[in-house]
Amino acid sequence: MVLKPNLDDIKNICFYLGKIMLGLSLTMLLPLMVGVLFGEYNAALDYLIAGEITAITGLLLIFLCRNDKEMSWMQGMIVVSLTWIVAMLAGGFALYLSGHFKSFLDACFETMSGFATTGLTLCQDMDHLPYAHQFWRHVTMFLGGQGIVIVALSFFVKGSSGAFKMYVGEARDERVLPNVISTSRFIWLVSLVYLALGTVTLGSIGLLNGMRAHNAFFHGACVFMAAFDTGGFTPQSQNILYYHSFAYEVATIVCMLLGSINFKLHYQVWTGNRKELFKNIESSALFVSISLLFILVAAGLERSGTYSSAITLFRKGFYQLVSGHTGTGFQTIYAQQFVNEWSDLSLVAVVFAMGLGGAICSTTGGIKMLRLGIIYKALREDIKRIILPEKAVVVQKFHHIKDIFLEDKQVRSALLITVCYFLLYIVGALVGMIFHYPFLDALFESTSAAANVGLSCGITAPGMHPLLKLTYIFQMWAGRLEFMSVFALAGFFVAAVKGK
Amino acid sequence: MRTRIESIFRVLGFVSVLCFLWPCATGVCAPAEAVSSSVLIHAAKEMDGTTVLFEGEVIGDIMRRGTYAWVNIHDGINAIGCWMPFAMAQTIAYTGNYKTKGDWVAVSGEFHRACPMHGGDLDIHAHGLKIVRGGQVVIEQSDTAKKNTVFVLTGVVCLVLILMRFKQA
Amino acid sequence: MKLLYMQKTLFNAVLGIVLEIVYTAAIMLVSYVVCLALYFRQWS
Repeated sequence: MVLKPNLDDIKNICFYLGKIMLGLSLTMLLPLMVGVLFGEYNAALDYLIAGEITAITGLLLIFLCRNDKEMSWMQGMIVVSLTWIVAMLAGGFALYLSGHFKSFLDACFETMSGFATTGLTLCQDMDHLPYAHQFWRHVTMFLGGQGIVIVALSFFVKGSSGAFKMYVGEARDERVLPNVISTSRFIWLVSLVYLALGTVTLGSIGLLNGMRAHNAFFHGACVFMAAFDTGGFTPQSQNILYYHSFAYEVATIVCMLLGSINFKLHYQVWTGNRKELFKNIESSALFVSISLLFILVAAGLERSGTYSSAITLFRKGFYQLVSGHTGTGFQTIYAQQFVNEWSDLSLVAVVFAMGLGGAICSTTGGIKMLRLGIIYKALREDIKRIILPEKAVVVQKFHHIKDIFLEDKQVRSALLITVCYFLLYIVGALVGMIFHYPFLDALFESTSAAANVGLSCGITAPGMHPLLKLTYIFQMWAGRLEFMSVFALAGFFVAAVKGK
Repeated sequence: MRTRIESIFRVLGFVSVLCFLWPCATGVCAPAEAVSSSVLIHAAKEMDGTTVLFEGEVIGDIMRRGTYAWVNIHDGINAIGCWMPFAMAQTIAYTGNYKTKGDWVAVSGEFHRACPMHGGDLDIHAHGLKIVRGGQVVIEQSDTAKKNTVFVLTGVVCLVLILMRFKQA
Repeated sequence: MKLLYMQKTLFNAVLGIVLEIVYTAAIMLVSYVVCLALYFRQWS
């Protein structure tokens, strides 16, 4: 029997949503300060307006819905799914005020792309966008990559039982440390340490490449946030091609791969368990997957004669593949070049790479390496059962921080989410085909949105049909939250209508 | 009479050679019409290795690399990187960003679909640059409506905080 | 004692960061070798 949600459920959800909105409004102080620093007073006003509206809404929700009740799993998931919608609207409003977006829908698309660390962009005249707005676009990736709810958990939520439910709802079920608040803070520590190193490295490379000092370090910080959080936004319309620099490309590859590593693995390696990096199922699966898929990409490009030398094949072919596999979306070729110059074999390999993604509890999207590893191990176990004598006891293990025996429950969970992702990719491709795009192009763009990658073959543009924009927004949202929170929200509305 | 005719032909010949050489000397020895970035990208294979004329606004930074520099030029559709001698790039006064409108330039040079010298980048190796329209500083107009909205919203925030304090008390 | 513990923690963290960067470099190296192998096959 489905129970209708009662007022207490709604009050609890609104209370926590209010806290998160308050946290969100405080994050808008960052682009505000950047606007003031660079003398962009109109841009600073945009963030003051959006921040105050968000703060007022958050405060009112806290004021009207204050209660001490414990959060249930359903409530936690709903808070998370609604948080992402609210963050999209609040952040989108600030960008809309900049005048660089055709419509409020476009600005919301941009913000969802930022928070979901996708990187598909609808910004017009990006090269003349104020520093404050550029910074906000990249900060949304930094916040979204860590988890918007984790930001709140780290600073605003005191109790840990509701906190854990929200943490899981945001597609993080790995406990790095015993306490979820400590886990959130460790994730921030890793990100901030790498932010400092990455900004200095990329800024120095920019400076040596002839950029002005303030631009070199501003771009360094922004590009790092987009690279480590496997987002894909850049401060210029040409993406990474703007820099025309092999050193910049190598540095961003390192940042992208670091961002696609499980935070639990970062913890293990940083605390002395260095062998884990080579024994872990995810890091080995990522290594093998990138290598095998690159062989396909390279074979396709070599056959079509797209690039004339090994180094150009590496700089273009490998870069786009790693960008896709890690779910970043940085490009050193123009979107149309994917369609015009890359062979179908290479494109399909990139689509596969995008669909697979990086590690669980990292900043990437997609099906993820742990699930791929579990499915592979389950397949091996089933083949062994067939080959070996009937009376033989077949036991399969995999190593993820510790040796774990493969159970049906884990295989079922991995397969379920994998099927959901495949369905999402296909449905998005079908919607693209309804708008007259060829199948491969539509599948490429759909997978890019749903796996939160951001590579584009040219479909994503301000002139895109609004329904297609809404489809991609939904795909980015559902893909980022790995479906459960989205299903919980849908279930909540069904229960509200049909429940007793 | 014969010498006079010969000298006239010599002068005419010299003038016609001058008319041919002069554009090449100034560096704008290219097709008369500028090609758009979308044509260059879509028809990259066909246009690879040809001399093109590309016009657009200089954006971002002029990135010096030894005696050469990268100048990214945006024609309103896409931006394309142009590799040119630094001395040529120094004639550019303004580059485009939020506070400045960059110089609108016409660049002629060899187009590469996947430049072997630059790791496969789609670029133009410029041998001529002409400033078509100079750039300028863009003065930010103060938005009164936004300022008024901020005042009102700040008032509302204070009101809500006061209400919450009263309720707690 | 506390200082020694902090030094050890910092040493482990730095070494960990270096190792992660080496891991990324290994992926790049393998891929570059694939590029070289493909073009070597073409040239020969």
